Amino acid sequence: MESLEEHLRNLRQAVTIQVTQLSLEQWQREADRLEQQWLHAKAQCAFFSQELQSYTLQRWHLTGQYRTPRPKTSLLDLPDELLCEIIEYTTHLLHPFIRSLLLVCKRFHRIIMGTSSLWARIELIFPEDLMDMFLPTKEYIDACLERSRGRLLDVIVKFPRYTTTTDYALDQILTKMTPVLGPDGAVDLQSALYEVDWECDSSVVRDRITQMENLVKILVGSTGENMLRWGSLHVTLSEERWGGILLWKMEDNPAPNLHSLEIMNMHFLADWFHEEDASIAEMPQLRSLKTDRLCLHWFVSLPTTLTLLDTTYEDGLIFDHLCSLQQLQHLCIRDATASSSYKEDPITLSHLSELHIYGNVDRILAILVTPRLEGLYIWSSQARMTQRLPSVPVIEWNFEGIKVEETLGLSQRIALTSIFENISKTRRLCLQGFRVELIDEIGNRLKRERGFSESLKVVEARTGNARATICEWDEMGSMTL
Amino acid sequence: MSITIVTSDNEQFCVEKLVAQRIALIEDMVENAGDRPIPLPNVTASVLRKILEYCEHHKNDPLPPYDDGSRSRTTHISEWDQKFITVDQEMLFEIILAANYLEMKPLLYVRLNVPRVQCLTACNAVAGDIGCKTVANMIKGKSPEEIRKLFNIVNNFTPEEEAQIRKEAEWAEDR
Repeated sequence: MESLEEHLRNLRQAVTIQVTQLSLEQWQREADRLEQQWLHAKAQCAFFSQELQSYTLQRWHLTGQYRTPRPKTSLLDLPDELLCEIIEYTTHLLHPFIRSLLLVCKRFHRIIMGTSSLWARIELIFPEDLMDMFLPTKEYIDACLERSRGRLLDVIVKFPRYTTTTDYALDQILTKMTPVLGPDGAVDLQSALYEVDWECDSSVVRDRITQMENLVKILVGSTGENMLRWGSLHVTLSEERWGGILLWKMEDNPAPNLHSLEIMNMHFLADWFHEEDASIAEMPQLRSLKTDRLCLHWFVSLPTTLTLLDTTYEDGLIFDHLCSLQQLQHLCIRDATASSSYKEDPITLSHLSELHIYGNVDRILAILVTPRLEGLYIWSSQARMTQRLPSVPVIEWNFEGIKVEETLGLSQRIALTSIFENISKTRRLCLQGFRVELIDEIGNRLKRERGFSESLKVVEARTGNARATICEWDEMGSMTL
Repeated sequence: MSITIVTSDNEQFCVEKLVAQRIALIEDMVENAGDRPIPLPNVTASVLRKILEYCEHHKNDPLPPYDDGSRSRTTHISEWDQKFITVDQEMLFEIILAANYLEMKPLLYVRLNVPRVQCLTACNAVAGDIGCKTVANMIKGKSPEEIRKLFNIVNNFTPEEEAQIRKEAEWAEDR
């Protein structure tokens, strides 16, 4: 019985194979036929395209069309999409200026009113002096909120230098009394007033502050509803300890769509850094954060999906938090020094592709492990480094060394030698702030002496916007320039 | 290798292929044209000459990334581009129109040489349309009347319409 079943199974399998083979052959023929058709169609297409070009040329010659004078081209000859592009660039410079453009002519008005993207930007740029004329108004914010039709908003806020009555008055005293008492005398007077806790309660200044706060409230929304539409926020705070009006409002409301956050003048908000209960809105979509001072408790709320961070070194405090930001691709660390309070293990940032360092590079290079780094950009006055440069295809080094002529040559020479000697797997090195002849001399001498990595093939010098290749070596190590 | 381009006023230009490749429309046409000249019925010789000057200068630039709408809206224009685009208004608009017709993203998108860190928030977005940027720079800070005068635009609002728009947009002083 068993052998009969096995026989039948083999028979069925043979039939299945035969049918499949037949199907394969049939479809192969079909594929060949279609391929022939496709090739024929492509050839025809090329033929007719050539014919058409040839006829177009002939027609020009026959009609003498090219001899007909054309009317002068003007701005209104541009199609709507190009006019829209121009308006977008113009409003990018100062968004409330969109009102001037609305009044130019009916076509401008139609384009602006019909393009919601032109309204998806709100700029609250207050004057530096609180009492100067305000450009932004409630109507402007309302117009942007309504006409952007639910789009995500790019919000830019710049506060005046002082936004409290006393700080404003103290600044005015300093300004007014400097010609009378001299700069030192005016500062002494200001300090004395600080020490006695002098307060100003000018109703005029207070009214102006209230007006400004009301605009911020509209921007946020009475229940924070407008923050739901914020896509990016760039804010420049005032220059005082209690100048974080907008930040206080952001504490309680989520900004679920915010992907880019830039906060400048954070360093004036000294006290807020240390308040443990201070928090920041939930920002699950945040990808980019730029701030001139780290606010430590933010790192509790920051999403681990942050891909760009631009901030200050803060005696190495940044290292305590980088471990949790494993998705970082771009990192910029400013005001870096050789000291650090960080005593833990090195930190691996496996997705980091660009690293920018302002200041001393040693501690950062010692602590960060960056296996996928593609570019290292350094602005430093450091002459000699103690760390080997990481394996990275491109390094740009901007030397901000001593400018005194007699010491310049020496510090540049030390810095250049140090850079060349510490290169590991870099292919292209771009240098700025160094003398070109010094780069040429040191680069070629060290190459002859095998004083740096064989990987280095191109050395460029940059002056302003111009780049020039100074040294170039081929795969055999011979100079090609 | 070079190709021949014929302008609307029947002038022929023999152009190095590398240079012509900066022009997307021509790059597409080269494949089918063979040795035949490529006609550009919407571009005059004087405009093409300017455009080719731009292409020649930028022929070794890396091609810009695909415009995903995220490019930075900076209105900065590099020094060379600034000189290049210093032309009279008619030529300026001709260049903008021609660039649009020729699909010249590579020509009109310019890498800006600002320190990288300044544009960290928009890492890939250091680009802009120099023609449109130039017009935007001409417009900025001007009153509606000044803009009309500069570009010879007729105010076709009725006084009532204009008053209504002014009323609706009372968020700034007239300048």
